[in-house]
Formats: sequence, C-alpha cells, structure tokens
Amino acid sequence: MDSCVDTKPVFRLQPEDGPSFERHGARRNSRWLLVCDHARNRVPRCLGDMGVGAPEFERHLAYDIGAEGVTRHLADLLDAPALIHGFTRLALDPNRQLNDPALMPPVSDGVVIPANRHISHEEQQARIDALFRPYHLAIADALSAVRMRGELPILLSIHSFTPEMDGFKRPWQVGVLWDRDKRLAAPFIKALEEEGLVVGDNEPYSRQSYRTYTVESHAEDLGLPNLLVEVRQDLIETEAQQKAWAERLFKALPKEV
Amino acid sequence: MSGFSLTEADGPSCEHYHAGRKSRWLVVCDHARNKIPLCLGNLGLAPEVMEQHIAYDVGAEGVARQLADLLQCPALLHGFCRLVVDPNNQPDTPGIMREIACDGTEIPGNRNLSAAHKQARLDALFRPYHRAIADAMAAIRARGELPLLVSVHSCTPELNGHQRPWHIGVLWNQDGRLALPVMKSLEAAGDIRVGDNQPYSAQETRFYTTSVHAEDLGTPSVLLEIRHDVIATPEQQKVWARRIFSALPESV
Repeated sequence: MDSCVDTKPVFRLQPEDGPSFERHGARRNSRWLLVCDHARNRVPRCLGDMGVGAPEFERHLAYDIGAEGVTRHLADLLDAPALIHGFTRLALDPNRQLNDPALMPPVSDGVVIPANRHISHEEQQARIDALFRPYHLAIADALSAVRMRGELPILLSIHSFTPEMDGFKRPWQVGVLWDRDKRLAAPFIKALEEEGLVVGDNEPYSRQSYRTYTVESHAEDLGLPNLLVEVRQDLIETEAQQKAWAERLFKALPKEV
Repeated sequence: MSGFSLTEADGPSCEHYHAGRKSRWLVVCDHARNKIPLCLGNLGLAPEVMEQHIAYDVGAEGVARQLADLLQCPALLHGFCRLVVDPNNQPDTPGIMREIACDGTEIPGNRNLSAAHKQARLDALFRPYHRAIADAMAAIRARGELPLLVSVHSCTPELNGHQRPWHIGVLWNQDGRLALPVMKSLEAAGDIRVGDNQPYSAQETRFYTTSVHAEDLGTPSVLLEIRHDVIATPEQQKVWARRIFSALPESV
C-alpha cells in the first residue's frame, strides 16, 4: 500500500560530509582568484551512490580529473587564494545557472543518474542551499575584497576535459575559453603556443555559445577580466603532471592586465 | 548601425543615489529612465513611444528615491532606456536588446547590430551598473551584515487587452523572507490589491538583477511592480514609497 510513498529524506549535508567548499590560501592578498568548480567526486552521504555504479565516479562525468591539483599548485605560484568546490557535479553542478536543467543532471554523458530523476522541489532547494550558495557567496566575497582594496580582480577558473567525446579525439592539450573579454586570453594563448602546445581557442567548447555560471556571473557580466582554462585529463593524472602544468600555465599567464 | 559610445553629454550610465549611506538595504531601479544615448538618435522611434512603458518604468524612479530616503539607504538607478540595454536580462538573451518590444513595437535602432556594437553597449550600460550593485552588496557583507535588496519596477495597467487588477505585484522566487511579510502587510491595509508573483512570476522567469545579486547567493530580495497609474505623480510616488516602507519587515 505504501510502496509508492517516497519516504526518502530530504537532502542534508552531515558533519562527516565536511564543508561544501574549501578555501586554499585564504589569507593571501592577490588580484587573482582561482576557482575549481568540479574539483571532486565526493558524494554527500545522504545521496548514497546516487544509483550510479561506483566506477562512474572515477570518470569525467563526476568531476574534472586532475583539476584540483593544478588549481592548488597554480594558486601557490601566483600567491593567490583558491576556492575549491567540495562535491561531485552530479549532486549539483555549481557552474550552471539555477534554472539550467543540467544543474542536477538526470542524464550526464549518456549515463542516467537515478538520484536526479524526479527530485522534489524541496530537495532541489536543499541541494542549492548546501552546495551552490555558500560556494558562490564565497567567490563573490573574495572578489569584492579585492575590489574594496581598489584593485581590479582577475578570476581564473580551472577545469579539465576528457580526451575523447562522442568518438571525437580532441587534439588540444589545453583549452582557453573566453567570452568577450580577451585581455587575458589573447596573450595567454600566444604564450602557450610559443611553448609548442596545442591550444584550443574557445575549445573544446565556446563560452560564446553556451552560458555557464561562475565566470559569467562573477566576472564577465561585471566587466572583470577572467579566463576559463581546460586542461586535457590524461595530461594531469599524477601530482607531478599537475605541478608541471601549473608551472606551464603560470609562465604563460600575463602578469599585467 | 555604426559604433556605440557614450559621450560626456550623455552623463553616467547609472546614478548612485546617496552612496555614502550605510544600511543593510539597497534599492535598485533597473528601468528608471527613458534617456537614449546621443549616438543612437531616437532608435527610430516616435517621441510618444518614448513616453510609454516599453521605454521605461513610469514613476518607478521617484518611488525608488523616496523609498531609499525612508530606509536611509543608497539606491542605484540605471540611467538609460531599457530598449538600449535592458539591465534586468542576461546578456546572452534576446531580451537584452529587443528588436521587438513586449507590446509588439518594432525597434529599428536595434536591428542588425554588429557583435562589436552590442559589446560596446554592454560595456557602457550593463557592466558598470551591475558592478556598482555587486560592490554595494559586497560593502554590506564586508561589514558583517546580510544585505537586503529591493528592486523597484512599474507595470502598465493593461497589456495586450488584459486589465491588471493589482495595484502592486510582489515578485519572488524561492526566498520569501521579504516578499511574504510585505504581501501580508500590504494586504492588511484592506484597500490595496496585491499580486503574488503577478503580473508575472519570478518563479517562471529568471530576472537578472535580483537573481544574480541576491537569490543565487542566498541573500533576501524582492521585486516590486507598481501599477503606473497609481504612481503617476510625485505625490502618489511618495504615498507608495511610504506604503512599501511600512510594509517591509524590520528584521530579516
């Protein structure tokens, strides 16, 4: 009789889950702020395995493999703070507009995510309150702190991409994604190419054709310089590789904007 | 359409009314004015069109200023006609520079805009306003306080043949901390018809200003749509500013 009654408790982070994001080098005073939206594949405990097999959480659909390590090392090199999101994008993708269906994707990369099908309104709100708002408030605050010191902040968002998508082998080693503000992108792309790297200019996808959230809402819309960098996953699997790539990116970043 | 640039004669893209006031409240008025930047001429529109709702929110600026005075808080007033750039829309949506206004009027000056021209408009009329709002909200948060955002708009008594019975619409998405007490208090007056997410709903449409600067960050906000005909004169605007002031909760 009661078998169709959904008794699933509403989403809630528990103390063992830890905080929804981490501040790395929070006290550093810099114009630069690094963010890593898809740093981790951790699932909030109350979601179990989300109805997805454990191996799926080791793949790109759950997080940006290698991106967190690159972010930390690059933040250290720039002597800048970084904000690192703490949970899998399958629970909530903090780089999506709140009205984007991909915020809690029912299907990702062809894989059905049962825990994201028919989510109650209440649970959606609870996930947003726990996994979206604290992270974005922290980003807004960090950028504001720079502006209130009278400096122009620079937002750098670090992601990674799969080597292959829908049968297409992506040739780029690194993608530099920009929308309208090319102040950082143009010299950065040039410097990376001079190092002999295969650079995707607004690849593997273009920010001019798809509006994500983090860089747009916190920087682009306010006229602040920003960049989204996508490194190919297979190049940043190990800590040593992540460090080497952070050094490469650091060398190529324009220091004056 | 040639290039776009504001000149000194145009004045600033937005006005920061009483910027020095320290308050948890911030009043914004996205569609305060019907001014068109000189370089755009008249956008191909007749002068009488510029006096209508499609160009700006008639009466809203007066209410916004008076409300800011009562709350003793700053206000940010956008300086130009919404047909040039609508600051309450996302930059990548058609609503940002409409070729056809909501009542069907064609806007010749918005046809076939080059990407460079659109960017110049955004750089001049969208980004500085939103950066000013972000800064004002950040300054409140930096003092350790939770900011409270009130967005003042006005609406036509009639759209496409539909009479709008509400004197004021209270628009909110998920965070009802401001909207619910405001509605309750306005309704308690007995003679005011209050629309709950009317004449349109913030739960169905993502309004840019309140979403990005407040709702998305867990900050309380409310969008008010007051009917034009009840705020046509400065005296009426004053009355409505007082009504709204009295209806806003003292603590959130």
